[in-house]
Amino acid sequence: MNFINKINKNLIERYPTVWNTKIVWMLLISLPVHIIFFLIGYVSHINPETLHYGYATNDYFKSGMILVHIIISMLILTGWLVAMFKNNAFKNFYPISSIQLFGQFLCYFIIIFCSISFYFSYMFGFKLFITKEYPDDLMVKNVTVINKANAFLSTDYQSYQLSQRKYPQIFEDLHCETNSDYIDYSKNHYAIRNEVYQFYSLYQKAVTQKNEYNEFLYPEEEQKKNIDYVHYNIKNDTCFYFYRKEVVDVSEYVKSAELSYYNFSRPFYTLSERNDFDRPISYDYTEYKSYYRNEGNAQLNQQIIELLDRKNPEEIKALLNDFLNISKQLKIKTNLNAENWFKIIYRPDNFEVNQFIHTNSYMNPKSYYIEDEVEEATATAGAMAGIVSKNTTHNYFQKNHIDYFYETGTLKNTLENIDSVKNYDFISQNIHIYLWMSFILSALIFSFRVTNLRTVIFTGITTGVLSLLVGLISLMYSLSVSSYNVEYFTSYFILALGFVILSIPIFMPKSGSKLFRGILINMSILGFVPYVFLILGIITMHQKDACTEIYNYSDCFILLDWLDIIPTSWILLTTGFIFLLIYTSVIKKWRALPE
Amino acid sequence: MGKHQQRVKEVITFFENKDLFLGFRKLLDCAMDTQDMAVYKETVELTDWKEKHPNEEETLIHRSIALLKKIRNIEVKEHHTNEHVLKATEITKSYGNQKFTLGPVSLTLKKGEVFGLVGENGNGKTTLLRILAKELDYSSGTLDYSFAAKKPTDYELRTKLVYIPQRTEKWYGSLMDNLRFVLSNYGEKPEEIELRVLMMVARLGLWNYKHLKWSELSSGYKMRFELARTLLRKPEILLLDEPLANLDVLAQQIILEDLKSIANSVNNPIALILSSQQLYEVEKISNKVIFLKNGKYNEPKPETETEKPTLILELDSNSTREELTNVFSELAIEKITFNGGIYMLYFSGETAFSDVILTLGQNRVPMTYIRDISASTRRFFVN
Repeated sequence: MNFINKINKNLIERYPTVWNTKIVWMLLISLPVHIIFFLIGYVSHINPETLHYGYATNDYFKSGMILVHIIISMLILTGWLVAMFKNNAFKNFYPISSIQLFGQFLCYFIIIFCSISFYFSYMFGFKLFITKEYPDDLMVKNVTVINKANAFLSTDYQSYQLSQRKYPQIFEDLHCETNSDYIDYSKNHYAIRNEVYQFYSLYQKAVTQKNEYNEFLYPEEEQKKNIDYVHYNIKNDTCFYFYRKEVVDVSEYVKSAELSYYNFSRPFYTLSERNDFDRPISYDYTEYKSYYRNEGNAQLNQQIIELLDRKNPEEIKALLNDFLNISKQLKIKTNLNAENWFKIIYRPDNFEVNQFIHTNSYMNPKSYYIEDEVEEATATAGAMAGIVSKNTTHNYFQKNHIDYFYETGTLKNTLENIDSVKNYDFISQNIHIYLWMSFILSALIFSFRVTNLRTVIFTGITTGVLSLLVGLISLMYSLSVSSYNVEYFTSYFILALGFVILSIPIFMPKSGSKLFRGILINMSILGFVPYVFLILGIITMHQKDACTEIYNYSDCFILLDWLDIIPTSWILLTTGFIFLLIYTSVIKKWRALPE
Repeated sequence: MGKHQQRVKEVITFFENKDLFLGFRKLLDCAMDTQDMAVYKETVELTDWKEKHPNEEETLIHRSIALLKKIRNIEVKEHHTNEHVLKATEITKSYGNQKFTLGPVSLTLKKGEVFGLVGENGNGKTTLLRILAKELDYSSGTLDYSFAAKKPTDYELRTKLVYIPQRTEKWYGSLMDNLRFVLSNYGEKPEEIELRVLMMVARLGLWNYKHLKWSELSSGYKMRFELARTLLRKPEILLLDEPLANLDVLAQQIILEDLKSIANSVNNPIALILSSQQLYEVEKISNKVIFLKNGKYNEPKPETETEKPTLILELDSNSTREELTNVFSELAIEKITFNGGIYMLYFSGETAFSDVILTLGQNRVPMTYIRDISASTRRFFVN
């Protein structure tokens, strides 16, 4: 206690603003809270099961930590305000320079920011734990094992179809046609159940011309002959269309169209590059599907083929064991063990896939099968539904499930979570929310400290009334004059109103009552940044409109688009601070004038 | 011998005559005038000792005189200026469609002067004080402040122009911290702050109350703490609205004496205006009394040598009006008025107060109280 008193006495005698704002104590109080949040973040995901669900980077908000955070922040800030409001040098007309007054605001800002930014400490802890627990080299090793072993985790059938073959190189260059309309049955093709595969070489046509809707034109010749493209690819200003050229015989490599481990080429997981957080694979379902269907990996396919060709049971078992060990560490649920899994896989003649594994433990294979069959029968209801549909690979897949399961989705979530937490730039993504919250709160407290509660309340009322007025006048304008440019009218109306509000305390400090000027001062303190933003918005609005009228949109300079969100935020924040620094002299003048 | 030395000598006499209560307060005034931290330290230590040893009078006298002798040897720069700090010319203030108009009021205030502002409730005392404190705007006239700082901004002006309302605002937190905070904001040297605060606390008789909370203080002590806070600001003008309200008679006298004494500091005098209902007490310490009636201030005309003013007396007696008329018939009484409790007696300027008392004694008139109010603003109240 003596120590605290000693520091307090020292502060009050030397730095009255620092003493009054209690910044030293507030920082000292928020420091242990930050440490506690860091520790909570560090231990929050010790159990790998916490990583089994999607978007672990948002766990802070999903787990209720945010509520604890809000309660602690509110308690700290309330305590602080009670302590700080005990003294007010400015209201008592103690000598205070404009810089000191601004210093008070700065102290409020720092205190509030430190008292509401526990999220960052939590995330630092969380990220540190994940980085230490799952270092990059371990993850590279694990993902390699997972990707290879996943080839034998037959939870679907699509991965084992002939169309997935990517090795040798020829399969990468060819297009595997599965649409029976394009199959030339007179040439080398592969049929199984109701599916058929044929390999085509492709030729490409480059197009640079566009139509009036800014779409690439279709190549003239192909259009005339009514030839459908296989796929197209746009690079810069050119569109490359790909067309079937001729059927290629791949019988050297392919003996049958049966589902086979030889065809497996799909990596289960690809570790993201640093700062490559927004990988499409993880978050966009359609992208995911496209990836799933087309982005086979030749290297993985080669590794699998070579492994199978070696026909070494021990090697395969070792791989499965490694995979199951990783799964155990990550607490992924499965009832597989290396021995029985190996029995499912090992068909040394052609490594056909004829048994399938469930993706979760609670799925009853029988009900699953019946449900799907009913669904399919309904879907194909009509003429030949029954017979044809029963001969599908999908049916085959459904009928051949065995009582083993492995939660592949959980494994994927876990890997994605580890990866995303390690690469998540949580500071630059979120700091502006906390900066702005701090700025708004500190501006509000500053308003209250330099004026009084009555003025602050009347500021709120006046703002409400003015907003209503602006709304009504805009509505009247749009109804009676023009609804076409009502946005411009409203923007300019607010601009003019804002100019009046800002000008009166600066240029006419003696006009109206002190309360009236106090309200305008409070509105200026709180409203200057939105005012600057409005000006930027009006400029942008003009630019956009001029752009659509005169230029091609892509060639235009649009201020807010050019600045982007984060730089705009920094600019506005800096503007707010500079404004308040200058505006303190206006506040002092107002304070000293009689009522 | 300078003014300071004269004061110290006077204080030593108080101690020699064992007027300890008055003497110690005056000692503190002299010590404060030195602005010498060594003296402050010794004075603070002596105050502390005094409070801990209330019965050791002889030692206190001895130590106090020794300290005063030291204080006497310190040179104190006297404040010499006849310039006004405040000059109000024809100030008026109208409220609500001219229903009430204050003024015109003109006054000139110098440092060291004490003005009393009296008048019945609702006659504009607080309004005038607030106008002079720049808290309220006025309708017409001019206000001119002449402070030590040249061309101060409005805010700077108000740091040295302090108004204490009748109802002082509540203090929050430690009383001592509040006082330290003042000096710190006023840029006092950090190492001197504690001593200056303790000195002020001692001077205003707050030594044993400095560790209490605001809510634990009586109204009188709240006013004293408010005064301590204000005086630490070294104001050039101090405006007090009803500082005597809620104080007992003795406390009123002491605080008025203190105010007078502090306002008359040798090196740091303050111009002081205080409003009050306590006419006699205020008149006793004021250089000038401003009486406001219906917002108007009529400055008394200067007396001429040839024309002697009427003798006006206030008398509390059980006698009837007839009896009194008979008693005073020889003294050429001009008028007797009775307000239900007190008689007002008006004599010609030739009559002496002593003759009236003599007549009352000779006629054995029963009375509890008599006072000459010829020069007092009291005469305006009873009219």
